[in-house]
Amino acid sequence: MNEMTTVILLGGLMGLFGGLITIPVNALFNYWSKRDELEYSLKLESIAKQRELLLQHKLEMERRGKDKLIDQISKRLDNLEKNLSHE
Amino acid sequence: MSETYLFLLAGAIAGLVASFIGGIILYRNRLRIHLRLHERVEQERTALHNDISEIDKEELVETDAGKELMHLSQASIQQFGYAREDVTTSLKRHNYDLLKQIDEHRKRLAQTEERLGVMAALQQESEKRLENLKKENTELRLANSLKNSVASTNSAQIEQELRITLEEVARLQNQLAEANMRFIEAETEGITVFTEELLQTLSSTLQYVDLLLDESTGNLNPMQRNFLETVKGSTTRLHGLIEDFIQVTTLRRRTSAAAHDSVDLHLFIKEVVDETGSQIRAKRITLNVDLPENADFVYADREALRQILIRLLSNAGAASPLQGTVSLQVQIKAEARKEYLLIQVSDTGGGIPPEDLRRVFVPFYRAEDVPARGVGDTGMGLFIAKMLTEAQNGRIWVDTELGVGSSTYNVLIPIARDTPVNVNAGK
Repeated sequence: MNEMTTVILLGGLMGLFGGLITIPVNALFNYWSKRDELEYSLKLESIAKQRELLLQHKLEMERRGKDKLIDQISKRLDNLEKNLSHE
Repeated sequence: MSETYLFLLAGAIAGLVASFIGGIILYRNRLRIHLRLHERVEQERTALHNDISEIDKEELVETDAGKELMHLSQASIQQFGYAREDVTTSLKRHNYDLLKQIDEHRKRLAQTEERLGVMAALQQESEKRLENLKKENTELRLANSLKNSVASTNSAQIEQELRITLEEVARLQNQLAEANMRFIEAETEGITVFTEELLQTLSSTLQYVDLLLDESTGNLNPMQRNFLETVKGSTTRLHGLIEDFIQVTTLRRRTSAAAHDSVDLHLFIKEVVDETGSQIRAKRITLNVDLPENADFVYADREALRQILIRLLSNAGAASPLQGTVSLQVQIKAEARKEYLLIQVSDTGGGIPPEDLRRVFVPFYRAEDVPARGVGDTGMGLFIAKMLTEAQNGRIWVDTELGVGSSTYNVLIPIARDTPVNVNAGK
């Protein structure tokens, strides 16, 4: 076996080892990716929950506003009736 | 040797690069999804943050959902570290919030102004209504005061005055009626006295004329006799007229029916026929009398019945020509538990034209083709018969046949067979 062949074989062997080194790197990358996906799903879930609560809050405030308006109108009507009856 | 190391290094680097490239190819899709998720989460988070920042924190505390939202938001900030904003972004956000609040306040101000305008309009309308109500109230008070004043006056007193006034009016009306009656009685009495005087004068005139015609005071030449007979005829006619007039006046004064006498029909008819016989005999008229066999006595106004029969027979005798025929038929009819006397007098006077039928019972009516007016026929006979019949609550009518040449006068009078009947009961 001449020297050139030996060098190529050794080069290939070093390449194989180098490739083997990337296996834990890929595993780490895969872990990060899954962690991020989980985090995103949690974030989206939290955002959806906050949206729901915001909507509930808005509806509640709207209902209260209408109740208040109805109370005001009732009071004004009562006052008007009282004034008319006095006159 | 150095070449050998270079080859080894190149082989190792090529292996690493190849494995990286293979890893990138393998995780390509996952990387893409990762980037999209990141982008979406950021968008959602920003939008949510903007929506939450539009709401006051004080307002959020008011509802349970708001409180939970605040807690969850703070937890998410702590969990995911969103609060880490730089100063510039914070200032920008604050500025934006302030501008938003200013806009909101402006909107509220505009709404308030609008409401104020509406309220002002409402106030004006209310003031107008108040004015109207005040006016109505014043009118009502006036009306009430009037009502109270009217109510306070003594209604009993008004009633008493009204009653006295009505009594006074009734008394005056009675006096007026009495005065009218007296006046009519006095007038009628005066007329009766006058006509009776006239009747006596005419009777004495007739007696003197009879004396002259009997030649008790000397002989008369034919011309004088002719003149005296004309005078007698005219005076006799005038005498009859006045007699009829007295009878009509008497009839009009009668307020109630005459007495209800027991009348023997056979005897009564015979007397009446004898009374009117002279006229019928003078014209050689045949008189047929048909009487009911089942009635001897009836209760009726005898005098009225006599006058009616005399008038009808006289009229039939006057209407019939020489040697004519007069028929008298008397029947008793029963209808609806009541009894009636039906008197039918027929003549052969030629009938009455249809256009004259409605004037038969009018005073001084004479059909054109009746023979010369005889003595005692004044044209009032049928009128008197009608008045007497109606006074008895009866009915009189005439059936005539112009072509056949006869007329039948019908009189229907209510009578009684057992006890006297009140002929005015039906009036």
